Amino acid sequence: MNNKLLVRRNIVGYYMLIPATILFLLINAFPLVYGLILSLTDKNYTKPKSGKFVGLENFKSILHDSEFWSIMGYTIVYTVFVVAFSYLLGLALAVLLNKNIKFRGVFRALALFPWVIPTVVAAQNWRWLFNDQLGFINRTLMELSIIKEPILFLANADLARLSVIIVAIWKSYPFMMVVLLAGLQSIGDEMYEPAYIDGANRTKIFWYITMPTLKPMSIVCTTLMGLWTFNTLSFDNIYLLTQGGPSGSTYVMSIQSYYTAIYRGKIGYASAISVMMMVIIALAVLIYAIAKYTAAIKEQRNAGDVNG
Amino acid sequence: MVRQQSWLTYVLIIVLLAIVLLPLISMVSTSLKTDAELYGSNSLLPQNPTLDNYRYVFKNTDFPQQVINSILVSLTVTLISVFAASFAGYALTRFRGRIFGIYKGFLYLIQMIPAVLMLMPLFMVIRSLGLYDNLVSLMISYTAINLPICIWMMKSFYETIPYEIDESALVDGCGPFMAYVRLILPMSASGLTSVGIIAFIYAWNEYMLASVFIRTNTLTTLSVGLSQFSQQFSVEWGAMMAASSIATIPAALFLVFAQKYIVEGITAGAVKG
Repeated sequence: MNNKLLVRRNIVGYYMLIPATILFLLINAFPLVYGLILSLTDKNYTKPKSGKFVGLENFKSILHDSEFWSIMGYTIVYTVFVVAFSYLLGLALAVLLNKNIKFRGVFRALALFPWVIPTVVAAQNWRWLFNDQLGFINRTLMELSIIKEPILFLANADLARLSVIIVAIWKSYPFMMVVLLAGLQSIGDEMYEPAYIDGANRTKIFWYITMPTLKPMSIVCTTLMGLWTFNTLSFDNIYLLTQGGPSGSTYVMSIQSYYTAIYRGKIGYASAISVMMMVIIALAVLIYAIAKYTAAIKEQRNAGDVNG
Repeated sequence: MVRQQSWLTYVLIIVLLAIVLLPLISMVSTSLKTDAELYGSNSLLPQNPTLDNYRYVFKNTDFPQQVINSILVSLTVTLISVFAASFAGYALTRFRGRIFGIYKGFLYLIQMIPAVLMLMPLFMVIRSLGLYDNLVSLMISYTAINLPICIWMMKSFYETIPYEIDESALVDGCGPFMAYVRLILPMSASGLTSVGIIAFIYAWNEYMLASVFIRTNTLTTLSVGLSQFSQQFSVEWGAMMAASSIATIPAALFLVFAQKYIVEGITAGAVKG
């Protein structure tokens, strides 16, 4: 094919990107740039004359705010717990539902449920289960005389921090399950046969054959879930369960930014908080890249030792 | 594989699923209970199942209108997403050039932006377009926000279709766009279905933007309507659970009739990307 034809082909390609690009520019790119600019101003809805450029002033005050540090800490803990435990639950179900059993399709469909229902439905259902007077969990535990007083799942500060994590794990594990199932299905029986012949037991097969094969999938699904949880999922989940309460104990960064903007009108400061979220993600990506790089170098060196 | 200790597998699966599905079981059961039973007993199954809660939701609340709004928004988002993602996905697999490479990187980066950072600026965009308190604001925002993952899905789908097919059409003198319309598009039904379902579910479920962009109760979506049940009516649990059950119907239908496409959508968006 000559060059002219290739160029003509590419032009069609550009045309085909137009619909998506218009939407991106309007809904993603412009608000992003504007948000970044706002983070450098003292824009405040309650003060008509605000909106001056203040440089990194917002970021300075954020870093000096002890509330910010504790909220950031909880956001990270929240994300790590949700990712880790939804991964474990997803992995367990993926392994179980990969077996050749009856009703496999039905079980898989049922296990997928939490992922596809609206977050609002999930939150209302759990608020109902967690309810101190009428909730199923408290009533059952009381009827069985395991507890005397109802457990205040969402009204006690420490418990609320845990409860919102449990609900998030519940909502997130099906994604892990689906991705890991796809990974498990790519492992053919022929990969297991030599191990069976050698008499390896199931635990060994799992750790030495299944898990290494699942590694790439595991990295992808935990990374994506970490990103989603940190950026958006945590907001919906916590906002709908506790509104960040009781007395701010379940604030994550996105909720802090939201309240700062909506209720205090401090758009500039709120934008700076969300920019800090991007900084944390960038740092996490950087740490990951460095870890991967040093591991690769180490491996190379080890290989060199063996050879030389 | 070897059928071994299958009873243990069944027990484990059923126990895990029972725990995991408890909220949904309790939702449906509560929606069918009378108020007296709801406050009186702790049984997981309703003794005298009644549809009173559903009748209440349909007659006395804005919820039916909100469901219609959600259907309108979700169907529009689905249509635009399928159209735009298919175009862009095809362009990104079939054409070579620097722009296309940058575009792919951009699709990655866009997913790293926290939604709250864009919330206020996006709100200003919506207001200056005169779309505040208008469902169109949600239609375009949902489409754009979900589009990167949809494009990614279509891209990985088109990668599985051999390039020889459209290249043979090009040799026959067909333009690349016609090759796409005549040959590739008819083969894309399953990919487009996956994208459509994922887009529909996202739009049906979204809460944050709807709660900020829409003010009028009869104009909002079911997610916002549902969240108001606890404030508006001093928590009427029975009615709320009836509304929640209605809101879960599309998810249930998709899982029964299109589980394969959901799974393909999730794995294509995540794994092959």
